[in-house]
Amino acid sequence: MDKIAKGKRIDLKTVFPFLGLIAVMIFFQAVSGGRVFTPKNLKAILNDSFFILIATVAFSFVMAVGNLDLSMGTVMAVSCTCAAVAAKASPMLAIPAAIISGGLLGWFNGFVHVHMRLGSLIGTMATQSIFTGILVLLLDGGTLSAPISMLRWGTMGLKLTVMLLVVLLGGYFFNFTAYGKSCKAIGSSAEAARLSGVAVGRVKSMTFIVLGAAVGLLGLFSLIRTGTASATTGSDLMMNVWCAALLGGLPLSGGAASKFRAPIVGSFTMSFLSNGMTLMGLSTHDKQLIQGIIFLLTIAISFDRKNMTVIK
Amino acid sequence: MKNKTMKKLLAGMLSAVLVLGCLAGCGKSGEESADTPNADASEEAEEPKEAPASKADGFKIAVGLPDSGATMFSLMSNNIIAMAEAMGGTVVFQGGVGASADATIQFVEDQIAAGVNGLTISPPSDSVLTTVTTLCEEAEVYWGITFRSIQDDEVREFVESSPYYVGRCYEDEEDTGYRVMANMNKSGVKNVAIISMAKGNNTTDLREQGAQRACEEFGMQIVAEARDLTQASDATNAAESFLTAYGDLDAIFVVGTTGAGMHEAVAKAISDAGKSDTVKLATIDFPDSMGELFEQGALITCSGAPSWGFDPFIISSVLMNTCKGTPISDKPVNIAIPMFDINEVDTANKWLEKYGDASNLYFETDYISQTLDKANNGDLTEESLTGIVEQFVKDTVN
Repeated sequence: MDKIAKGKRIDLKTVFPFLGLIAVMIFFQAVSGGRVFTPKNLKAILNDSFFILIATVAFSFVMAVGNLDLSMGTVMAVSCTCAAVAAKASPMLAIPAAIISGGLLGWFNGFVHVHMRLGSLIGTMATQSIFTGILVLLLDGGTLSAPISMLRWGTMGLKLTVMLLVVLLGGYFFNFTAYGKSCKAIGSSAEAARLSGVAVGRVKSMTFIVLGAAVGLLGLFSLIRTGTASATTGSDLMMNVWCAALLGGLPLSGGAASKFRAPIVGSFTMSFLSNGMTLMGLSTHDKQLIQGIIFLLTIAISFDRKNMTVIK
Repeated sequence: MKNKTMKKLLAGMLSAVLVLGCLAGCGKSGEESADTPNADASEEAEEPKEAPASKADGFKIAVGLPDSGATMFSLMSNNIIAMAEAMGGTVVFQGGVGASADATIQFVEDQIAAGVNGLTISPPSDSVLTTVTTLCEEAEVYWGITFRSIQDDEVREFVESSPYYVGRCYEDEEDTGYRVMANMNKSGVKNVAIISMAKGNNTTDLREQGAQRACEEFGMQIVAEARDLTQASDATNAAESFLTAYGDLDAIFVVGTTGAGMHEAVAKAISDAGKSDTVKLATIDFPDSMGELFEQGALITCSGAPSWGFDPFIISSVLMNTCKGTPISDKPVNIAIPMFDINEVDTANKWLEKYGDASNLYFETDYISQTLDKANNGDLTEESLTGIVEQFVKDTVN
């Protein structure tokens, strides 16, 4: 349904994510007695959105080509573990260890999808299981801890800088480079993109590598934040990122309708939602229930049934 | 042109939200503000820094624990709520917290943002405690540990140096693991499979150390293990695998779990395999189904604290007193709760009568107010609180 405003047509689907974010902010600000926009709470929201935003920005490239990834939480856990192992030799080594291991696992996801010709959903479901096995082997059924000196790295200044860099770089590549345009072209029609000279397989692989590296970076920050690498690291990431992407308005079918504002709006909506529910005193189980309902409703509203009959 | 209109529209809407937010934030009545102490940093800034506890009259604490929904969790929360009411404060609970490092840190950050004065956590490993210490110090929020001791010397030193750490309440896990194995040995058990938490969990690591000590002493053997199971169906699968792979298995020992219905699932798997006469069950922490399992002959021994929720209850009492500005000690408390064994159905049923009902209170509210509230009982110290704990255990056993 469209609206007419000042003689111009405004697509409700475009405005919907912004309205959602605003509604969430107003609702929780009202019911929490004005405790949402306090410096302390905004810091908590930024901390929360840091993980969701970075992963969703990277995931938007995967979604733009019309793919999905079920393994990102496990990739984060493996990267976190690699970082913890490397940090024992030298804390600085944890940085490349996390990003490279994430990128490698992302490359493997791309390999499975492109060269083994498996749908991304099934392919990443299989790789998730493989990565979980690797994780258990690395952890030997236990946990690893970070050197205490590393825990001081997790300043808000660093997080804001990284967030800003990721958003700026993501926005630039998504909107202004051949790579970003190729992603959307593939999502609209892979065959047409191929005939236009786009290296479809390479671009698809690259989206998984970028997501893997970004999630690897988050593995590093998770280690800095919690001081721990365990089998449960990143267990909430996938659900949060999927919800954020869909709440922001990224279409499951990918293509030209994918907009870069979606991961940003969606991530903040998710963070405000999660934080607001905590301020209301809801338990983890209640929050999961509400999150699941919102996820379902968002898919029901935004799913492009005409252009996508089968999830790839 | 369309984009410009959109941008103007959205900019206007966002501005409206921020203005509304500010108005809503400033629009609280004095009474509401008093109800939510520590609600925001601007309020804090107006308070003298040396009196963070005294302003918490009408304090609020948060308790974060893994919650399986079993009776023992409800019993724990009802008792802590009763104590908070008796001491003039409020308490919020969050389940699913101690199961992972991420969830623990998220809990701490969220509850600090929500304006609590104190936190009780059950950390999954020592490594998260450094971050928790830093977060709580920055936010001037008191906190304590339940169920867990601190094994890492470096971490313990760091945590105990914080003025916002009030202490820990835990059980002698190593000895308990040893005792359960010793009891099994008396029943002729030699080959044991264990179901436990992930390695790195302080509680089950210590219980397993005790179990290993018993193995060496009594010539027993841990032949297989399954870890970090959260669903009853996982316990069934694990038990079936043990029974299939180890024909000479004598017992399955549930060393620790946060899942509900795990013991029943294991007992059923043993029964379904037709091995009820040869393979027995042992556990730590009294399960809701303990009476039935003893009656069936499936369970041969279990050990636990007088009540599962007693650890968080005791450390919460320490925390509440600190939040009220009347700490019971000027250094972190260290209270170990003795565990005891139940080996037969009558004792199990007596225990269940006492603690199988989630509405039962450990202490009457008048007693809490007069004895556990330092404001009314100036003699309350770490030593006297330990004495109350020991008396409670004696009363439970008898």
